[in-house]
Amino acid sequence: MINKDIIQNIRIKRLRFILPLIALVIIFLIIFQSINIATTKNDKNLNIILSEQSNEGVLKPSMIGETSSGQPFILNALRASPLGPDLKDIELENVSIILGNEGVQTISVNSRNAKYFAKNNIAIFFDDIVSKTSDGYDFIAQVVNVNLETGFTFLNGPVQGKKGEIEFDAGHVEIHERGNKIFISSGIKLIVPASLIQKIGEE
Amino acid sequence: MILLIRNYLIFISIFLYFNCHLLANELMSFDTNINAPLKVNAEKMFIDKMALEGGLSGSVSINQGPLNFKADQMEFTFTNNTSMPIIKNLYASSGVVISNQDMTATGNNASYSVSNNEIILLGNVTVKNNFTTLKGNKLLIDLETGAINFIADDNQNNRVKGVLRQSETKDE
Repeated sequence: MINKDIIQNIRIKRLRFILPLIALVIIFLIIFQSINIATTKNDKNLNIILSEQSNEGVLKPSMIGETSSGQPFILNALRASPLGPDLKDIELENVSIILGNEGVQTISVNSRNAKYFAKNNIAIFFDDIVSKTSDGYDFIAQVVNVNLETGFTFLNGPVQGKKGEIEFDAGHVEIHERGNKIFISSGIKLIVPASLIQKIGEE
Repeated sequence: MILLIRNYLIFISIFLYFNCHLLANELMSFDTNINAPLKVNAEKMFIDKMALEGGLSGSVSINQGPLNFKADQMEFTFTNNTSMPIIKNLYASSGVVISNQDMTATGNNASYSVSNNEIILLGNVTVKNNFTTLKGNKLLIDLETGAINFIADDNQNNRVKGVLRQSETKDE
């Protein structure tokens, strides 16, 4: 009997240390999670509006945000479904994005499919891509990569471009600084029609 | 009679001496077609819509009909036309070559005025065809007619130097 009492006393003494420790760990976990949620909300400045939900993903999702340079963007799709187990990356169907302020300068990308990677804040568009700038540049590319952090748009080719009567083919096109700078590389073939040269002469 | 012939020959020699480059200019011209489209090839290109300027680099080649215009780098300015970027001027630098099937002009730099249909080649300009080589500092090429014209600078050292040859075989 004496031995049993001694053992019980030892157990009670151990529990006096273990239970507060467990409580501390739980409290720490709760605090840590709440801090993490708060930072992710402020970090990205993104609002995902979900209009209708289905079992196989989200129908007609919309993502509104702003790049680090203050350029607003709106991303719309017909359907969004999660990519991977952590539900951060998204697969999008019949998707379009518009970057920039209406009435100033906008860049739009439309495609049949796209993937959004939350970690890098990048949207990759593929299949039947059409990209346009509000001042009349049209592009057809194989893959378009839009960095939603910087607002830079990367079109990988072969890329076919057009501005009015001027047409060009290139391997790679980058649109920087709210569409004010366009970098074309990996070989460019550009054709200026004779009618346009004559117009220049007349003007 | 002999005196008359001698005087005539002296006069012809002096006339030819002072006008050889003019005659050569008259005889030498580029084959051009301003009604042909401009075909531009380059490794890289940039357009700055705010500064209204752009650039081409990496084996830049512009072809219009029978005329080829090549350089390592070209820069251009354009007007802020909403429907079309209208290129006003184009400046080529480093290894400028303007060529036809049988004539070539080389120089350090070139300026192409799209509105005036003319190219001005500057610095160590050499024009060569099968029979003639002309050297100077500033050459004007009229793209409407293909005519070339060396322009004299204020600096008298930059005189046009010409070599007229009858044929390739005789020189050898």
